[in-house]
Amino acid sequence: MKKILIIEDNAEIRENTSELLQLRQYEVRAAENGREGFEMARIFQPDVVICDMMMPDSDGYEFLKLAKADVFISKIPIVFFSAGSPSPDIHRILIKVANGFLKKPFTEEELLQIIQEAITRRSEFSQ
Amino acid sequence: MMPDHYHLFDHLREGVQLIDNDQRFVYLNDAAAQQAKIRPSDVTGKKITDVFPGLERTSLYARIRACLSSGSMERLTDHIPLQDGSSVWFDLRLQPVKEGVLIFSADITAEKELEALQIQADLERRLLESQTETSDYKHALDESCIVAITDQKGTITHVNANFCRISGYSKAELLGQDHQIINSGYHPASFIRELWVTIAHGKIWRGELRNKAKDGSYYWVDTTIVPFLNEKGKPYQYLAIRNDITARKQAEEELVKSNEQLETKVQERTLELTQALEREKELSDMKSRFVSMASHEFRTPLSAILSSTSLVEHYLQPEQTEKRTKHLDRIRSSVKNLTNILDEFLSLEKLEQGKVETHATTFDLKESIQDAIEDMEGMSKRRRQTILFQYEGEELISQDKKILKNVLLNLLSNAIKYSPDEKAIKINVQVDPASVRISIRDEGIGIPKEAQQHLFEKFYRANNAVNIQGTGLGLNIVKRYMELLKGSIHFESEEGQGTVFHLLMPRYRDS
Repeated sequence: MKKILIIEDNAEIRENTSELLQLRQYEVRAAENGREGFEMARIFQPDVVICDMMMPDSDGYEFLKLAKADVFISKIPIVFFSAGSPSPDIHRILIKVANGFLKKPFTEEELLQIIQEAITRRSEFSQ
Repeated sequence: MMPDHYHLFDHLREGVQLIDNDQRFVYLNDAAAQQAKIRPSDVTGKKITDVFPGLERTSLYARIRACLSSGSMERLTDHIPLQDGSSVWFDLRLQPVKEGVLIFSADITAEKELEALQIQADLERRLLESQTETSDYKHALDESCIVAITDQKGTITHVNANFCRISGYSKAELLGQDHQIINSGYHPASFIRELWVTIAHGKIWRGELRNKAKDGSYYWVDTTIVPFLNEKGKPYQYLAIRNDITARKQAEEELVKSNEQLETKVQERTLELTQALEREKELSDMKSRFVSMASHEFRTPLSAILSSTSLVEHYLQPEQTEKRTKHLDRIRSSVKNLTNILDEFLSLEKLEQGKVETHATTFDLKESIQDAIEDMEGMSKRRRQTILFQYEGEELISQDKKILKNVLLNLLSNAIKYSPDEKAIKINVQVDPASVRISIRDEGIGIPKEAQQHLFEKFYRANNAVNIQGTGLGLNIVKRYMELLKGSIHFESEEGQGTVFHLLMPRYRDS
């Protein structure tokens, strides 16, 4: 069973995304901001992280910095999903570094496809 | 001895005399004797130089000698001193002959005197002419120019009427003074020094000077100073010829002034344009803030709607009714959320177009605030926040109830949104006979100092709020609403500590 970590401050989207993935037999955990997500990622060791960009307290950029600096999770694929960004520059950086980008609103199929792609790429990479 | 044929000359009108090789008189005719005021018998056989003691110094004597020695023919006009001290002009021809030299002479003294008289008359006439000419020039100069003459030290020795007129000084006041008397102090010392160096070297100086008249007014003169030089080439006096150019200078100054005004106008226009550009840029910034905000604020509820719809499709079994209901509620709430955003836009649009009308009614303020708190409790309870309410004074007020409620809902939802979980929100109301004060205090993230001045701007989001959902319109609308209520809004805030908004409005809103 593949493990997915969702980092998203909006409760509805966090819960709905979790439910959609659980229905496809993924093991899902969720966090409300970047720092919390980072702590959870170290313990949970997900196969893919799906992360929002704009969050209060610590955002997607913060998570990315922490994750890339940590040897235990730096190789985990990250997919960002976002409704936009206050800074186009940060937006570009995040998209460039990430393994996938999902624009809100997204369909169930788009979500499943981008997760599947990230997992496939990861297994190719580790072989 | 004299040959006999010389007697043929005796009565000739022309003077004839024969002088032998020893320079002695041999023969003179009557005319010659008369001319020379001598008698032939007195001089015959005598040396010519003995008869005329001054003769050696004349040209005639030199020519006689030349004629005797080389046999050349000579012709000359000479002025010969006579025995009685007088002198006579002669026209003379010298003819060498075998006995010596034959001299033909004509007395031309009268013609010479006439000629001299004519020359003198001519000179006098020319002098007169030149005097007249000089006086004409002087007259012309005096008429047209401002003229002054100074000695080599600069002391004024002559001024003309124009000088007196323009300077306002009388001739008596000026003579004996130097030009310091009309010095305006306008020109730098170096300029004046250069003037003096030029004329002291005997050169003409030309330039424009500003002078001061007796009454303190200024006048400009175009000036030429001509040094008059003595035989050693040193200036002994200076002639200053000036022309009044005050009008031209004033015109120039006017031109400079009007150029400066033009410059100022150009600068003003540039400033206006810059300001217009800034406004344009502000508008454009606002537009991009709006696009970014709209994108985020619309996409988030749309995401919830789309994913909940997918989930409803998964929960088709009868035992999954509860899950279905949850997602249908979620869809409804997201749609409501979208509608609220849209309403906010529309309110703003209406406010900006001045289309919002106020209707004052008398109502119970305490009740109205309690209603607002109830409306927001769902939101605050989720965050485990408490809303404390304190009310003092009369309960009835006369205001636009709907607008005031909108203001309260807006400020309350902000207090909840920008406060951490479990914090308290306090509402205080004080109703006085004529005024109503409401304060809403939170213990939230606060407003950064640099953000405070922009807080009521459209689409503005403080740095610490950009990641929190919001349109950036709420406070702009609240401020406009408070203006409609003839009231005011202000706030105090410290980042990380919390914020309090104060509302003040009249208790009785007219009309």
